[in-house]
Amino acid sequence: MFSYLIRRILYLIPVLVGILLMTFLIKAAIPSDAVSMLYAGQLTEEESAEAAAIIRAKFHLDQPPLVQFYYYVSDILHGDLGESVRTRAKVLDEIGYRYINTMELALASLIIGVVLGVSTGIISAYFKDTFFDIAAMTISLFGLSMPAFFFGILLILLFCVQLRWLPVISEGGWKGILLPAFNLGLILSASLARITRSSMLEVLDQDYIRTARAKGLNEKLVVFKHALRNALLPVITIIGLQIGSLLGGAFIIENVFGWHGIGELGVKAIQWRDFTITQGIILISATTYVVLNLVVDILYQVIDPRVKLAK
Amino acid sequence: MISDISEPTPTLANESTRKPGSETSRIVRRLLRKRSAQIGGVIFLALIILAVLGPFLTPYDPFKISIDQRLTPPSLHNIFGTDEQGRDLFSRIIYGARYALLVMLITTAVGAIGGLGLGIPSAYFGGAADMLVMRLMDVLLGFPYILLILAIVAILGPSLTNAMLAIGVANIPTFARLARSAILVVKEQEFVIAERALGAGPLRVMFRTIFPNILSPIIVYISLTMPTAVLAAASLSFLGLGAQPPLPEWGTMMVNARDFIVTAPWVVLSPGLTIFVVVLGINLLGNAMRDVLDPRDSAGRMS
Repeated sequence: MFSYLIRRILYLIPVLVGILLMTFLIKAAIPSDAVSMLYAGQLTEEESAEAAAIIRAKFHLDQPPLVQFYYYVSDILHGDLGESVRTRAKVLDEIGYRYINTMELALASLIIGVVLGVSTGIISAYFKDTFFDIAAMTISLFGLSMPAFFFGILLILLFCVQLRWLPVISEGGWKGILLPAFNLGLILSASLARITRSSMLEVLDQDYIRTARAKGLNEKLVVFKHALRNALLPVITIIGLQIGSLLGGAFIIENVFGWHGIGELGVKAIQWRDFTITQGIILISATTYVVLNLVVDILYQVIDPRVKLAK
Repeated sequence: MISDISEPTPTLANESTRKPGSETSRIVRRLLRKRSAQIGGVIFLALIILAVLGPFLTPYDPFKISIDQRLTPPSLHNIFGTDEQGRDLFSRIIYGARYALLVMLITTAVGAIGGLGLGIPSAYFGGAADMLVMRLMDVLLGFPYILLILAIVAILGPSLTNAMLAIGVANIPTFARLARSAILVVKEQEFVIAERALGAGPLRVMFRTIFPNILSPIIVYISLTMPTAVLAAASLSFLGLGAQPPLPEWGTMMVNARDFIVTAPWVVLSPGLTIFVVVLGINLLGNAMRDVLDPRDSAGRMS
């Protein structure tokens, strides 16, 4: 177990370096005239040239790329993500509370998605080819074909405009998280239901299930203890990977509902070409995903005694 | 007697040239028998027809602004209504089919060519280059899909072309891995060794001998990436990071969705439902193709 942990953590290093390189490229790809454009119209030409020079020096834009990368990584290791090109506020301050909001949203969506998706998948598999199964699989295919933002708009149309249960513009709090969390959660449940169903079907077909039934075991025991435990193992890996689509989905959904998370800010930052904010947000979300996946992987080892850690 | 002897040669040649053809037609026939393939196929065909014949089918100019006609609800004149600048939504949606088709073509081309171009040689030759390529792919897969696309768009800048490139690049690692694992199985098989022994160069062996044998998992994967690519492109455009107004791209048409949701919901509903129907069609077609081409993996693996 311990050596597996070490190896798994060492394995993170190239991925983290890749994430650093990728986010670094966001800065490197800024066209040189972008800095000059920053003050266009606000200052005289001389003043703006001077300001641009100061900014270039400040962000080391006048240095060769390798030196720039060194500064970039060393700043990050010192916990400094720089300051917003646009508002001059510290990137960490801008991101901080938004990160918590996004995590709240992701967690709420994850709970909704897993509860709904896994239970639907189990019932569908057990009652294969019945009306419930066909209906559930049709609905889940609809869910997979639905653009997340359009689904969000439909939710707003139904619950805020037609039924008037919730305000159109999110005001934070539990009322505000309800629709975005259901939006992300329902879409997640569509794919989880399909995966759980196929995993469960595979397990229900195994010899040991037939043996358990032949022994005359209580059907509940067969399904919940013998089948479910084994069927859920691959589902756990998928859930880990789906955290990525939740984080990605947050970028879209937060903008539909006006939820103040990192996704909402991230999209604006890309439009504004505020590269420090963009870098910070992509860096933090990608790192979160990688770390959470590590946790899921370790969890998987703990749950499934068959998996040999030495592999 | 003589004709008996001379006969085997042409039939043999015929057999080997005809066999892949009959195999394909057998697969197509099995596909056409599936209900989901029929529905999906009709939707896909309709999309192609709309994309190609768009200008002849649109009742109005999709770019023409007429302020006095703005936000008119669906009627006989404008069957989907008009948007906030008085443009006919039906015409704009028909034009949008071109962008959807373009997205599918470009993202698949970038992903498949990039992924196969990296995956096939690296699996065929192995060694240090293979290691390097695969570690690079691991890094790309370390990003969540949408986040990787956003990062690339952040580097390249927001536009439809860059959005398509970004989605295509985000598809490269999976194509590369898929090709690699398929090649590793095929490359040690006898017909490949025979071909090599006959003196065929590596390019010929990789692309003429091996490639046709790994085609079916690749086709299945393409059918899986297409709906995701259309959704991702529409989402980027909706966020203002893909196609820019006034392009009649379906996601772009919904950029101001929130402003009209109360007063003019048709502005939002028609492009949204169109995306939904098109993606559903491709999903149905893709699922059917997967059942036919790859029976082992017929249950839903759609992430």
